[in-house]
Amino acid sequence: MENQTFYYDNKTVKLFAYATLFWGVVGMVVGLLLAMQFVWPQLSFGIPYTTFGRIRPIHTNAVIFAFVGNGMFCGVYYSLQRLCKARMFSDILSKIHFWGWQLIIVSAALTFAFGFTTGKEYAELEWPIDILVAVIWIIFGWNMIGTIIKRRTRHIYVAIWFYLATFVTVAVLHVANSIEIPITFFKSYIVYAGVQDALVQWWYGHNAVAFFLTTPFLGLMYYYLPKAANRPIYSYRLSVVHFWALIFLYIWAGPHHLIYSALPNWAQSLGVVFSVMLIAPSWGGMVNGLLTLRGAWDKVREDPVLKFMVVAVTAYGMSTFEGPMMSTKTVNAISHFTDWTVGHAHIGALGWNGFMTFAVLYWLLPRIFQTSLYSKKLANTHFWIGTLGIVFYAVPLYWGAITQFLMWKEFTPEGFLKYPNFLETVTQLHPMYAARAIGGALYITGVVLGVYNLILTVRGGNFLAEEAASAPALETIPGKRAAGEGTHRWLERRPVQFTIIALIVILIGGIIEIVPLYLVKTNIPTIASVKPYTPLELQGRDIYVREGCYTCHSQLVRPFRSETERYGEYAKAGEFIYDHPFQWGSKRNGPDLSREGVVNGKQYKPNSWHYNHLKNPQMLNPQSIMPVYKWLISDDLDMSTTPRKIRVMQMLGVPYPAGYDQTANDDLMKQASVISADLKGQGIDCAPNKEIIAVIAYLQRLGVDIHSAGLSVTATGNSIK
Amino acid sequence: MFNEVFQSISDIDNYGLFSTFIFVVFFGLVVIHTMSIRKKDVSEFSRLPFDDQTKDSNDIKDLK
Repeated sequence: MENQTFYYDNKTVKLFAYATLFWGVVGMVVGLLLAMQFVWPQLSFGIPYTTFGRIRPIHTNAVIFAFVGNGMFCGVYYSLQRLCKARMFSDILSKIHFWGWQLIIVSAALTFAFGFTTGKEYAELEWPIDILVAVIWIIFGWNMIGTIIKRRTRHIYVAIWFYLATFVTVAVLHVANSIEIPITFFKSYIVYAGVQDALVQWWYGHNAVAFFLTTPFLGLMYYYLPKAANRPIYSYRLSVVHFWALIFLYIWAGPHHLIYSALPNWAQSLGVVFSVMLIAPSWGGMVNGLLTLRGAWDKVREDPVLKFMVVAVTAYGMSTFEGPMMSTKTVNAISHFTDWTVGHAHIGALGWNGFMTFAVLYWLLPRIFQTSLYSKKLANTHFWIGTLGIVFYAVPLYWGAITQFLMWKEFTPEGFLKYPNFLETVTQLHPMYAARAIGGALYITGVVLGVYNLILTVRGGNFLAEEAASAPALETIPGKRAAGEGTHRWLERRPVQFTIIALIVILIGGIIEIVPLYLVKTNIPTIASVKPYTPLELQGRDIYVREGCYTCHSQLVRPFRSETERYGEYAKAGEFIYDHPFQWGSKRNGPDLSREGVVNGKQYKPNSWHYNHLKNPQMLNPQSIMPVYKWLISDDLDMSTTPRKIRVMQMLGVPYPAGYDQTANDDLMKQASVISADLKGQGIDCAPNKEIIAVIAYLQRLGVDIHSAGLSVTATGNSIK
Repeated sequence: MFNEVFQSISDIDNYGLFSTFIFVVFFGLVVIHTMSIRKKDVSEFSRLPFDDQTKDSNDIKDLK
């Protein structure tokens, strides 16, 4: 066949590389601010836009979708073109993809700061941005599959399989976990409720880790590690087994985030079994990466790119061993809700994703700028400071987690909780939180050095926007299998069919886990005393979601004596059936709140306590690390949304009486007046139309239904219909 | 119909066993396929990243 000359598009690669560096610094600085707020809560500055609950999603979304996301796209656009010997399918799609993704990131940061959130971890974006994400993601996939179709190589290299699986799975996860009914332009209710919402959310949450932070980076590893080491991957056969086993197994593991929760036991068991099995393919990939360096370890000593890659792959191995271990019931009983989870997540994020991203950038930017790295010494310094940063970050959190679960679970010889006041554990953790912030600062210092090094590299180079290449056109052969060609060999040259098969493989786990939870009624036994929220409580709940209270407080008492003694009755599936979204949380920097409203319960506090606590937590507990929420006292409750909220809840099956949307605000004001009057009796002057009244109403409702079946009136005047 | 079938499942805990069985079958098929790939093809596939006219780390110094 005739040799064809074509040009690789390096401009898009460069743009994604710049965006990676910029958002990396932004996301990590916000992370450092969060870490410092654990030590100095006044760093929330007393304004809503910088409170922990609002900027935590900014940090997580910025580092996952902005830093790692842009880094992934940068690496994919560079390697895909070269593995396919073809320019990207469409320059226009590349541009839309890049600028659309940046628009999503900016929109996310602004909306989170203003409190527009769905309240679902790592999926906090409200519905208009969700739609934009879906559109831009499809454009990415369209551009990628189009490039693969017009490739000039027969075989599709294994790295591209991982890219395809990433595209198709993230699309499925995002759409399934974002089915919402809009209330306003920036507010919606998820269609799932309670336990079902929890399962869909953690099926999404876990697989966002799997298919956004893992599979694309394994694809990058399979391309860039051999390139940097200048030797082929250790075992191509192992990479094939690794790919299929990994994508099949990963999708099932989501329920391990819900062990000992109200999720049915069979679903928890599935999550545990498949999580443990995940060690095999994960370590297959890690071993394949490390053994690629067999006989080339001398290069690791010299080459900073390989140094970053070795620690990245090792961190991948560590976190993929630790994850399954934490998903076993024995370990999960002590690790869940502690900072162990945060430490585990950051070994993966800082080590695997962060270091692999910088390895790719250190390798790729000098090439497209036709130069060598400005300073190897600086890159080595970045490597060592970053590695120390990871250690200093993770070790205090592991130490803190051990402290947490020991203190949470310790009883006196007389059978009482030794540390009944949750604040005692928070106080113990102060030094660990400070050490964690130092670790984070070290890591960011390394990143800043890396950015400086790369800026000087770029300045000293000559950018090659259009890189010439030549290859013979691919000879057309029939779509059907040729004689002697195996099914998989045929599949490997058919990208669309390959993508469909990958889709089927990942759907198997999702369908088998999620569908029965909806259709088998015995999974979620209903509880007669559980009633819908009153309009005021519903509005208060939405403020609770807006402020991101779930980022520190769980609403799930697990069936352990240490928890029921501290909080009250353990969680039942039937008590969450009106929760759109569920608010179980994933860690406890503050106590569980799900039994907060039970009068004479272990956690009960009067309305005046909640008022004063939200106004200034340190006034009640000087050692508290909770931010102030004084704007809840001054801001009026937006009651104009109540009728629409009631109607949407009715659409979702919440049994409000017909026409209740028209009278809901009357009931709201009645209940608000009761709380306002109660506060007045305690010497606090607060009008019934203030946001804090709604929040107090919601907090005082928590746990009431499950505890007091038959009791019709609570302390807040809530008339349960 | 599907609704009725699912709701009639009395012992949903068996799902764990079924699921593991599905994986074992799937994994077995993948391993059999992988073992059947010819050595020559495996070697060719694994060298694809080097067939892209981009210089590797050893000759980057020549670029400047």
